[in-house]
Amino acid sequence: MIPSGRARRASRRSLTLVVALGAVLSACSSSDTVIGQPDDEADLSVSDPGSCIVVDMAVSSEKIDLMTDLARTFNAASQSGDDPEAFRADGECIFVRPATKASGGAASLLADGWDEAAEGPRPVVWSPASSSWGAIVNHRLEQRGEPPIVGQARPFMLTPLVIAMPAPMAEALGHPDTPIGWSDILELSTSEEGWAAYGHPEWGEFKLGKTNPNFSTSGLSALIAQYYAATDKGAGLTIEDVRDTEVAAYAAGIEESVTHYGDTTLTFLNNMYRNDARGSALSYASAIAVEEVSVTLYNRGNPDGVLDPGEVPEDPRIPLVSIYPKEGTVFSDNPYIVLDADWVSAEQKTAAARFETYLQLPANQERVLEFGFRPGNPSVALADPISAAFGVDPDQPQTTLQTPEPAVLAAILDAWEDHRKAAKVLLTIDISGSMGEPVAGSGDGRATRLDLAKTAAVNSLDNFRDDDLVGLRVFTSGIGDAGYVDLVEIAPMGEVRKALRTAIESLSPVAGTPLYRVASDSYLEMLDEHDPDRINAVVILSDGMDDARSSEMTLEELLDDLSVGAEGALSRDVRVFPIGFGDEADMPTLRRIAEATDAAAYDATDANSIDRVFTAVVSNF
Amino acid sequence: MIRVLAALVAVGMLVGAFQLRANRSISDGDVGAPVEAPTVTRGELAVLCDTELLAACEFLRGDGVSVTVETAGASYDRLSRAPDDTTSEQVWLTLAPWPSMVDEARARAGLQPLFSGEAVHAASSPLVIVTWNDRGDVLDASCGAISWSCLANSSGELWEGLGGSAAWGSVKPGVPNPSTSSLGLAVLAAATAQELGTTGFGSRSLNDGAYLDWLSSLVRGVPDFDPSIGSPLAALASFGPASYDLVGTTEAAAQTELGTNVRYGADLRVVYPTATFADAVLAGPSSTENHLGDLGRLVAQALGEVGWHTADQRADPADPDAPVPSVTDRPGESLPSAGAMTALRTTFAETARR
Repeated sequence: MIPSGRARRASRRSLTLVVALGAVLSACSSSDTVIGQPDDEADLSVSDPGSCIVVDMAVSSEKIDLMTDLARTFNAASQSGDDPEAFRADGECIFVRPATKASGGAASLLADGWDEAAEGPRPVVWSPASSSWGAIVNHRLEQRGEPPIVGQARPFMLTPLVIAMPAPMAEALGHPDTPIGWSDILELSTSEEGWAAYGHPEWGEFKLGKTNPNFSTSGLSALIAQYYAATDKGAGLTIEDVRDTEVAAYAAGIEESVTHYGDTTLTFLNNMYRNDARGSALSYASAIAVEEVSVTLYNRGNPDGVLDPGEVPEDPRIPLVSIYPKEGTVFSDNPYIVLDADWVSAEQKTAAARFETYLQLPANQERVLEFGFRPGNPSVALADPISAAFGVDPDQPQTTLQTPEPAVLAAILDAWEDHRKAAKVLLTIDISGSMGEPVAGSGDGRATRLDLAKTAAVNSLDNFRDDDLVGLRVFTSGIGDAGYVDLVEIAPMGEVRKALRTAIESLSPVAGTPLYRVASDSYLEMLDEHDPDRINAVVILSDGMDDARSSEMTLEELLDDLSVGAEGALSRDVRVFPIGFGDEADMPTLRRIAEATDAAAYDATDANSIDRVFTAVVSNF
Repeated sequence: MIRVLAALVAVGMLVGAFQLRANRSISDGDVGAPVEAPTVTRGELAVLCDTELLAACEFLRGDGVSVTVETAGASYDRLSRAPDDTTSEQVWLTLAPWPSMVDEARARAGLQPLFSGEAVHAASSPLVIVTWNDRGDVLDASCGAISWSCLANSSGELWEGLGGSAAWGSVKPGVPNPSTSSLGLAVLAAATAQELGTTGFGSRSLNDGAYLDWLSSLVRGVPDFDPSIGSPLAALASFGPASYDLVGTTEAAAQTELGTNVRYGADLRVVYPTATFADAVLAGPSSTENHLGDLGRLVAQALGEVGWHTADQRADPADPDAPVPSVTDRPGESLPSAGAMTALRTTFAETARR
């Protein structure tokens, strides 16, 4: 489901809070860290388990590679018949079959019903990023009078939420001798002096990177930590706390310094790394709320945890350090949950227990360290990269925060919608002739690219608040003076919501694609009218490559324009988020455009994914 | 087909195994001592097993006994209200004095007792506090010595104010949920007894304003009575000092956890605040009395392997001062009465809800 906007928030309040929470979080990715390389070898999902007891697993993405590798080894041992006590269940062989499932998505499926035709087999074992997802599932089931299916579970691996800061900035705040926390972030966020108050005017204002809590476990964890810091509590956060005016002011204060949100911390980390290579890391972001594992990956020159073919990791010039908030933090504990559900047999539970024992073996737990996580088994000592050399303190954190009750989580997310930084966004949609091509596999097969884009764009409007500023621009050759026209001028959403909807719904494909021209002009206009109290952005949806005759400019010229006003202490952030729509979209070029403004390009080359992708793009605001 | 045959073989082996155990040289009436025991039909018995005694539950289950595992609190809530015509050859393996708590509740409700047979005391383990060395040093200095009162009285206090590091935040004690966990209630009872100066407290003492303030303070300071990992001790062992600063548990659990904890084991210490014990007992209707001794021996064997004290154990030669409870001489005496425990459970639940 798509996270609610203002219109849906009203109806959400009338639902049981936990159902609403699940609906909101169903699109949530798990931990934002993707580990390892794509594995083209034997696909466990299609391997024949034969007559073995099958243990299907739903696993969050950050551990799928490791879990798949361990399952493969375990399955081989089980089928060989060696050591049946360890690898068999009552003499039967076991076949463990992990599959990736986002934590929030799996939680919704387990609570609302798992359609095996669409989602694959119902899992015997579920391993989300955090055990709080299990509490959410049980609560939703309880609301319907159904028994819980998630019991106690041991962690497979651990990683705490930290505030990652470039080392010089952390040192300016007194790290490591002075404990730093959200109260310090608040002070910096609301200070007009910015870093000048700490003797570094050249760093400009304080900039915080934080993901959208409706999408990202890291974002949600950071938000929880903020609220606890605001209340000076470590447990027992209540709805009354969340609604307290001072607490609300604290929360809003921190959001003031956010550069943009987004569905994954990888955007921030990749942008930071790229800026570091240019020597401008300190002007990109001052702090990013991420999981500790991301700090170890970044400092090893692999910010997103994935090595592309030929990519050689290089250590950053300026490493990040992990700040463990003095008020406390939250662990992503990656629990191994054997579901107590009616579709799980006793023999499957026994088989699952065998695999868990295998996973907890010290030799296997040491592999967790290789990925930058802390082993779940405390019989394994912490070692590199969980060490100071990689920006991590193994003796931290000193305090963990209790996961709030689901009703309180829903209240926090509701409150965030009001406190998040306001946006100023220009939606820019390609209406070139190619957007009229039908998309295979879309409903009745007759929907065109533009049809799908219009639906996605209209759906995304509900994610904007009434006080967000939003406008609509369309582009194709032959319209306006430069190949684009503003159908709805940027104005408060509350005033133009209906007009936007009408304008989008009436779009039809025309001619060529002046992509570069519209990107440049849109960016420069937004820069000229930059609002420092808002997230300023241009979203460009295009299905193709630039039509040079229409743009009358080159890519290099565009990139030059996008660098205007983007660097130094006085930079004004306007970010361009391109969406590559359809199989002809020029994703490499769109990525260059995004990177030029420290944003991210979104891939909807599978046109049927446009609704989900558009939602992800709007998560930045 | 293969699975059916395998199952039949397994059943045969289990019956045979039980026969072998029954034929061990075991003397009458003394848990752990040799006696000649009768053959028992498994289908006649069902064991309700406390989650705090999981090792024994799994051992019995592996021996072919029908076992249901649930928390003592869930068992109490159900059994205290079960109609008199509920016929079940059910034995309850839990910590004392929960079977008595159930029967007293039933009596108040005009119901017949469920555990009319003589309970068998299978094993014991001292109640201890596990804490971090650095924090323990601070508490030793602050409290004079780490005690149950110290755990409760320092709950929620800032470490800096006690002489510890500001980075430690507030004192985070760990206690299993006294509403559901037999161990949790035992720990709370030990702390209450020390606070009130007697194990002979009654409901009037628990309604006293000063006591309720004390209890509220303790409750507020505990980060989580029901951590998802399973127990405060497990959380402390996995998450380190971020989770809890000190945890009430059994000696057996503490030794098991610390013995394998490479990451934190050297940073932790076990403190014996008082000579208070968790006593694992088997209770059932009088019709099950003939089976209780045999089951008790199996339970003692299982729990003995994970560090509980049983009748056939003696003091550790390496540490003659280590507390060795006399299992058969001291059933349930170290904790308050069943009525007081029930009142305490209710008082805790009401306080936690506020």
